[in-house]
Amino acid sequence: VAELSLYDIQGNILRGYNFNAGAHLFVELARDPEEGRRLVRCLLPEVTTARKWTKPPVVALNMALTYSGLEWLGVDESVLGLLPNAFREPIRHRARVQLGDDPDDWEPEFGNPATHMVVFLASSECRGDGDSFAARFPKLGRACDWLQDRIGDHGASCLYRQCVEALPGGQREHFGFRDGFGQPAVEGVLDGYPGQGAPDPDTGAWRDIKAGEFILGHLNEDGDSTPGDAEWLLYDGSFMVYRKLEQEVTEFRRLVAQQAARYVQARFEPEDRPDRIAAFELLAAKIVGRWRDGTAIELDPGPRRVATQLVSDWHNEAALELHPGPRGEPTLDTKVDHHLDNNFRYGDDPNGGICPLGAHIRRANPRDQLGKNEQESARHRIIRRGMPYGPPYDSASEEDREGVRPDGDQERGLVFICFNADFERQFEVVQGQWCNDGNAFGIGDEQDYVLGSRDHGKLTIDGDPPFFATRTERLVRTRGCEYLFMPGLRALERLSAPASPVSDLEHIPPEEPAAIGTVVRLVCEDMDTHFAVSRPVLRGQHAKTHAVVSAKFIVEDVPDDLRAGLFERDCCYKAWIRFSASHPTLRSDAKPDAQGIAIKVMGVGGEKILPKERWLTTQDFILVNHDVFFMRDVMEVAGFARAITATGSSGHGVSLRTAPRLLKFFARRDRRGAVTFYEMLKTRPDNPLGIKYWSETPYGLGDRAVKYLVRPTHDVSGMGAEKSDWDSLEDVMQAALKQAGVEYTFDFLVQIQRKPTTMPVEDPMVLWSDQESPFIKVATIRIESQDFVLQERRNFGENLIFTPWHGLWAHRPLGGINRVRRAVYEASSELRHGLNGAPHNEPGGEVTPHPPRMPQ
Amino acid sequence: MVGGSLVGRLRHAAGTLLPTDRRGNSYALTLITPIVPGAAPDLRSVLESFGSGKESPLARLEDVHFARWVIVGQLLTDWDGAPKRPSVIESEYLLFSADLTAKAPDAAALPGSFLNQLAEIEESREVWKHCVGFPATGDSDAVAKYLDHGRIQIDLYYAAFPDLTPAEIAHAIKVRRQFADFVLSHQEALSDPSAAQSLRDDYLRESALWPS
Repeated sequence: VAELSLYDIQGNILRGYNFNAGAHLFVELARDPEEGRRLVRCLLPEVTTARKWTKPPVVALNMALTYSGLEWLGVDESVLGLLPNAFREPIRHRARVQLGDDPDDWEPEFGNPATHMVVFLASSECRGDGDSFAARFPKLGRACDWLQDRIGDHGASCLYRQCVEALPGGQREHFGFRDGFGQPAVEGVLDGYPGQGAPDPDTGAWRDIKAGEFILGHLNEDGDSTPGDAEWLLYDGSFMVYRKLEQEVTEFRRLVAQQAARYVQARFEPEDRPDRIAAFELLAAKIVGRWRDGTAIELDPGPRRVATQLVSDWHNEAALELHPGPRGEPTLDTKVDHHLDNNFRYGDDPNGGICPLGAHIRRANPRDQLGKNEQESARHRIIRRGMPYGPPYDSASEEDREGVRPDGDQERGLVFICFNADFERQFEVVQGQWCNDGNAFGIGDEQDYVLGSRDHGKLTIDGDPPFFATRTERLVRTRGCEYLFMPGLRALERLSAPASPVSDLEHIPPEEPAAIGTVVRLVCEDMDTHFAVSRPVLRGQHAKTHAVVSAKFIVEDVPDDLRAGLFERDCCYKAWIRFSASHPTLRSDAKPDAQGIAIKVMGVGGEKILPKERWLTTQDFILVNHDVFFMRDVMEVAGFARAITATGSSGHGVSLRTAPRLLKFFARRDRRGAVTFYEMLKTRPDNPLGIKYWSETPYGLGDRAVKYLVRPTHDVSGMGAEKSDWDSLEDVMQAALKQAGVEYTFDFLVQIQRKPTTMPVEDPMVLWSDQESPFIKVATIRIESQDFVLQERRNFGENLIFTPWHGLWAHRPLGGINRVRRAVYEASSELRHGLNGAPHNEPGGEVTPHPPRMPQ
Repeated sequence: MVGGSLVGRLRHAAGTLLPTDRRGNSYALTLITPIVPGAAPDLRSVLESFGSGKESPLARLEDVHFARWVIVGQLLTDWDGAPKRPSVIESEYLLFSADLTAKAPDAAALPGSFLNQLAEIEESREVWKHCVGFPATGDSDAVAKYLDHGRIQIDLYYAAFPDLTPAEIAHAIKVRRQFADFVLSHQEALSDPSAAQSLRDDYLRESALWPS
């Protein structure tokens, strides 16, 4: 089963929001790419992800980029060159050739290379009263204003704004059909139901479609995962089609009524003949393949169907004759039923006697109809997230009845949005070859009756003789189209990162994102199992706290060339330091184990690494009592995680149960790793205040890479624990710190990377020699006398989150091990705080974010 | 007798029995000719100056379903599963491929008859004069011979309608469309038994006007 990192995938792709309203802003970025990146960065914290929510956000924000937008943001040519042609080609040209559009009909704002980005706001608020869109959705309006301000702040401009609004009665479109529920069931997203996936010819059941058909970087139906060298950009992203489709509702009503009268005349004896309304509904169902309430015509062939409220409203008939349907009870329910029966195939209806071969849904998803083993459709699926725009058709309005548009504002239609991994193989096949042509289904060049791009069209309804419903006007007109890319959150972050020479030091192997997914899943599963009953849920690593002490972090006498970030100017900061043991469960201090310290410096201003922490004022440093790490890269971490977690809770951490798998893991690898691992775990220091701590992995310092060292400068000889027992290290520290007036000091040092060959960034198994680059002191840590064994201090300490990613951009963590740490910290700390029921509050308060956050 | 591997010999033997570049009256033509060093940019602009679809010079050749010119600069080496020691080509090449169908007796003359036609059109000269060894005289026979020299053997060919020429297919589509139009304009009569005679008359009268 696919491992989907829901926190990295933008929302509304895998699960629809189903909100009432939305606004789409087409943005031209500022001339200066740095300013463009700042705008993306400023919007990032507001992006709604695919994570399941307990309560929907009032306003969700998502963003997608055009090809010219990616160019504008400064994506490297070598990466741009790997993007698909369909995405790179000017859409006005592509749509004419591949989609049968007439771009001369388009609104001028579409296909404009100045559109770099489209920002999507969607609001879950209830529809208020009012004539204007803004009055009906005031919260969405405020979010729009906020967004406009941000766009203005960064020298960008909004070229176009499209509002969308659900029609009264829920998920339907202007022709009156229930819409948007027949989506593909995606593997790894657990809400598919029969009829949504791909037909399985052997079992007669349905299987989920592979996630890689929609989310890039994951396995697709062909067993491939696309991206390759553009992996960092494409992983967890999705290609998006945006189409503005104008619908001619008056013409649709006139045409279907006229053709329906002919149809029942030709097909039914006078005594069986459905009345005018039933005839209309029947032909409408033949055209689309579904009755207007969404029921598939294959499941209920009619000819008559229970009329719903929706239908009677549409026909504006005060007294509607109810025809008992062949199945089910009459219903007036117009609410969306997500579990509407969708479980049908076309195998028993090969000539289209029930559902015509050219019916809309049969074209758009031919199910079991195409290819060897009925498998062809599975490679041409799309996830649709369209929303109607414009006022609903009003049968009481003369203008609507006559189809007159006194001014432009009566235009109505559908903003069609769909997601796929490959425009050419998926959307363009569905639109260009299946809807705009009939050859694939043996019906010549017959186009979709509703979507067809030619003025004249027909629908063939099988029979003896066959019946042809004809059409002399277009019912749907494309008013605009864009091909966009909706990146994952990581990719957006990297796209929008400030330019820095440090970035060039990193090299992300193509396998890494998938390996990160594996590690995150294993860690979360393991925590889930292990802490299914016990509380509190502890950290995934370094579970045992010896002490959380308050300290001073004093920056002074820093050499000029190292003045960056926290070390920019002399200052005395307050800090919290947690001393811990590395094992993932609580164990006696009598057992040897690696030791760590995590330093949280308070009151730090400046540009943060994580956009979501813009308003926090802390900087973390994380170090352990060993100078090199025992794994080289994320792929090794994934192997290691498999080795120590493979048997669930009983195999947690390093134990007799996991030892054989660990031996096997190390046997296949560089011997140095096993040696380091052994050395790390065999240490049994008798006083955490008396040992050295290294960062093992590199960090940025301004425009260079450095490693950290924290070294005690006080004398602790003779203070060690006399005996080793469960909490002896805590006891030693308590004894040391409780005497009034004592003070312990550490130097905080940095080691600058000189040569990337001998001092690599991506391999923390390599020791950076201090002959080649000696450590240089940049700060002093001072711990004064205190009593830390207080319950409130314990609680406080347990809820602190430490991660090397909490901090300033100037101290950005580097290398694969740090990148996977980030994903694990994010996932596991969220899980931990969720299970413990304690919300995470970073100490030290927050500054008022500038610019302000999006109003909710 | 042909030397080489057993597989090679078997393939050769099979090829003499079942031509691999032919299906029915259809022929798969592939020509590869080296481009004169440095001439590729000029060649590219010549190719770009041609129209596509009905405007293409190739549209005048009646045996052609599909045809194209491709400039092969260098072989790609970075695809998934690429060989460890990829082949490198010494020169840039012009690739020309075409799907051809001729009427029954003429089909046996493929590809020679087609190469003669190809050699006749002015655009061919403009294209292939950028290739190594193009005959200086430029007379049609010499050009046809030159083109044939660049022809390579095709080992697998599939044609959906191997016996239908492009003109026949275009004609069939036209008739189908006309027939559909006829049906659409006589729908009511289709389900009315009393109208059968007039329907028949109409059909005979109208279909006589369709292209034959």
